[in-house]
Amino acid sequence: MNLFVIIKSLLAGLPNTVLILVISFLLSSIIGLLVMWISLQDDRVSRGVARLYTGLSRGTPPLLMLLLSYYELPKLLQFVGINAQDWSKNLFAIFGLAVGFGGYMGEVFRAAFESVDQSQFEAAYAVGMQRKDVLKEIILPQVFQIALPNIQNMFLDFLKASSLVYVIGISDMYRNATNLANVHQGVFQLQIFIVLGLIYWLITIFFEYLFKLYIKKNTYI
Amino acid sequence: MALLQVDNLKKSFNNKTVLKGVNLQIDKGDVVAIIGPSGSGKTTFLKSINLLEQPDSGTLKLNDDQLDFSKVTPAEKLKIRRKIAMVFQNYALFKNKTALENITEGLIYGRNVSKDQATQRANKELAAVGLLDKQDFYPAQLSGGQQQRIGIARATALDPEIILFDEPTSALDPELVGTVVDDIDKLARNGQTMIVVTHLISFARRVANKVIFFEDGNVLAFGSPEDILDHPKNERIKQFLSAISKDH
Ligand SMILES: Nc1ncnc2c1ncn2[C@@H]1O[C@H](COP(=O)(O)OP(=O)(O)OP(=O)(O)O)[C@@H](O)[C@H]1O
Ligand SMILES: [Mg+2]
Repeated sequence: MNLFVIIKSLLAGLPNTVLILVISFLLSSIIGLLVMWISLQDDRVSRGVARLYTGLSRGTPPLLMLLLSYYELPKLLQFVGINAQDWSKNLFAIFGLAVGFGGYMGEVFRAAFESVDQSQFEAAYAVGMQRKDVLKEIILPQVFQIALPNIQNMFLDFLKASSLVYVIGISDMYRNATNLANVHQGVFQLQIFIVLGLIYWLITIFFEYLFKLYIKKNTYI
Repeated sequence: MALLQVDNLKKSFNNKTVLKGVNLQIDKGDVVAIIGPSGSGKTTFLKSINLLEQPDSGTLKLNDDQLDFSKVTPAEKLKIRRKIAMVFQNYALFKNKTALENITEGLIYGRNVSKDQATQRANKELAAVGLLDKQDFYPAQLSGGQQQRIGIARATALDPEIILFDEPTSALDPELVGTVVDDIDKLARNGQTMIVVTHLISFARRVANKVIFFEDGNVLAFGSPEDILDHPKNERIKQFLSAISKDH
């Protein structure tokens, strides 16, 4: 079988892979910021809720998260009167990954928030800034900068976990590779998976490059 | 009428009383130096004035604004903070902002000045401390002396009624202390009201017209620099001054 056929067949799954990867990553960052916010509240109940979610999300394998999201979430939605039968599988994949990694993201952001110098808050309040401006202007940008290396690592974990969406029947690159290998009774399995590995590797390099650009543009320390 | 009056200010941290009923009254144009041993509550007192620390009780009067420390509302906090500025021991410049932005930030978000006007003002302040060419530098790219002078520019740009200084020179290399002291001296001669916590007795003598000696959460003495620094009556102050002069 020629290389071109393999590449073409695998790349047919690239849009799904990238779509799920990028959107679930962004969503998970938002969840992470929310979890950070809740875990920094003064009252015990909020902190408890954040801790519970973080524990569950970090303790559940991504594969299980995807299965729960695809098979159980629609039932839950049905229960509150929402019919999710016709929703795209991509949606459930994105949800499963985002919620599954949200706990890690929350921890990354919380640790970064706690390592922002206390004097940065004091100086900002001392010039008469309001809390919302202090956070938006001074604190969160520093949180992002501090968290960035960890966020980059998380992104690579996302990339790998995104190859698991085949379990709910999405035609991503991984599923296409498996199908192609099966069609040929496994004869070309090794070649196909080497090509798959190379494509993932190129994606990694591409996104690492984007991160590097971003970091270079946003470093002030 | 006094510009600032603090009465019976009390503050404790986890059952440890750090300020035991401090009173202070200062007039417009006063430069008050606060000296005293480490741990006596000088920083806590300074941060109580602009409510970076929340005192347990006492009252504060700044011009016509009056507040009770035991029940301060967020709006009152903001109002007081917007009339006072502060310069920190470790400079505390905003790390993610350039030198220029460090100055404009407080104008834009703390004083509702437009961005253009804030930039103009910041440029003027930077020029005044001779750092206009550093306007696009981040704090990490500046020396301690440069950072502190921007810290001072950040405070003066706000046209505050009072500037609080917490040991503004003690983190600086000895050869950089002079320029920062000169900047503060210039402010004093322009009539800026200031409260300066310092260990530099020569500096207190040079810029202050009133000196407070703090000990163990109390004001032990309050008077002119001559009274407190040159002819101290209190044994504790004599001891403190001679111990300090041995260090230098
Ligand atoms: N956030 C805090 N939590 C608990 N204790 C504190 C806190 N801040 C200050 N203290 C305590 O309050 C006392 C006074 O501290 P403060 O920093 O006001 O002293 P200081 O006179 O400024 O000392 P120094 O000359 O060393 O700067 C000290 O015993 C200190 O340990
Ligand atoms: Mg102090």
